[in-house]
Amino acid sequence: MTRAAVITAPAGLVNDASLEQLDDITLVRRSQKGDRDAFSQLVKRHQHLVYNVSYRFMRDAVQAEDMAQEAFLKAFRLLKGFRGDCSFTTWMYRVTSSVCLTELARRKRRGEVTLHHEAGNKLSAPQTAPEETDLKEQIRRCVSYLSDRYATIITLYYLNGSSYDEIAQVMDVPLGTLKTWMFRARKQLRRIVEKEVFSNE
Amino acid sequence: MNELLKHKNALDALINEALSDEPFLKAPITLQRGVEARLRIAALRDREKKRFAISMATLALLFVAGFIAAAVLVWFTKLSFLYTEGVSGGKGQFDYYITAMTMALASYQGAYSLIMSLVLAVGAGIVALAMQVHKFIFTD
Repeated sequence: MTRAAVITAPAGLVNDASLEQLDDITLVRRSQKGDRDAFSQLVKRHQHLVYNVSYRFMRDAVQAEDMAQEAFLKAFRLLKGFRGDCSFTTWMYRVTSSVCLTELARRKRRGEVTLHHEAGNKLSAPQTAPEETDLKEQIRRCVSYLSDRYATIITLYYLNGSSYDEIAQVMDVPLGTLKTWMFRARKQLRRIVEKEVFSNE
Repeated sequence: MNELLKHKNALDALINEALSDEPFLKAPITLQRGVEARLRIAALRDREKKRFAISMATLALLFVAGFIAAAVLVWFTKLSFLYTEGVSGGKGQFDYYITAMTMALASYQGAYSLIMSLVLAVGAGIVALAMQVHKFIFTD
């Protein structure tokens, strides 16, 4: 399903037509005053994007949903500090990436990530169906091996073809720095793919 | 060198294709419900925290107000006399207390700071009562 088709598909949970007419910034202002219906409308509007960002970090549907919920809760808590310097979407990218990366770091500390990767690459590989061990999917999984900031910029770049300007805004870095990071991220990813995907074949 | 470059370009193209082709997923319907449920729980938790803080503040206020009122009364009516001299068999503590209060207030010639402190103590009691009522209104 294309991104546009997903976003325009009716979710139908909040039926308040007046809220649907409002733009993001108005909904944010109302949410800042404690209007939970306005925030629900924001959730409805951005849930697919947040879910996809989460999925690309976590590579698991259940964990992605959990992280997306966590991201929205964190957003609600931090919403008072949102001054509108950037769009709500950009801000949500930042919050979601931060939530996912924190969770991944926590797992790495506990050794959960290593186990998951080992299981994914070695233990479960011979038993899984061919479509699951699809080459593309293996390459996508390699993104999570990148360092935090590289994983974030690669994820955002390919999620909806965000411009460098937009990603630089999300990451809060100058455009030149982002371009350097992007170059290094691609280089690092190429090495990881060579090692993780093609060395196993 | 050319082979290496070709390999690098092919790999880049493969990575680019794999990442660009990833489908845009539809969020599960439970996502929004989950967020709303968790927001409700968070709001209830916040309200409970506030309620607890109000209860504790009320208790502290009542304690301080009661303590001040008791101290002022003991000092002003010289009720400490009861402790050192005891109470007559013909009169009870209540009689003594009423008499002491009536005499003290009737003969009072000084500033009205004492009266004000009594009023403040009573006011604090009323505020505390009001806060308790407020707390119970917001109790589920």
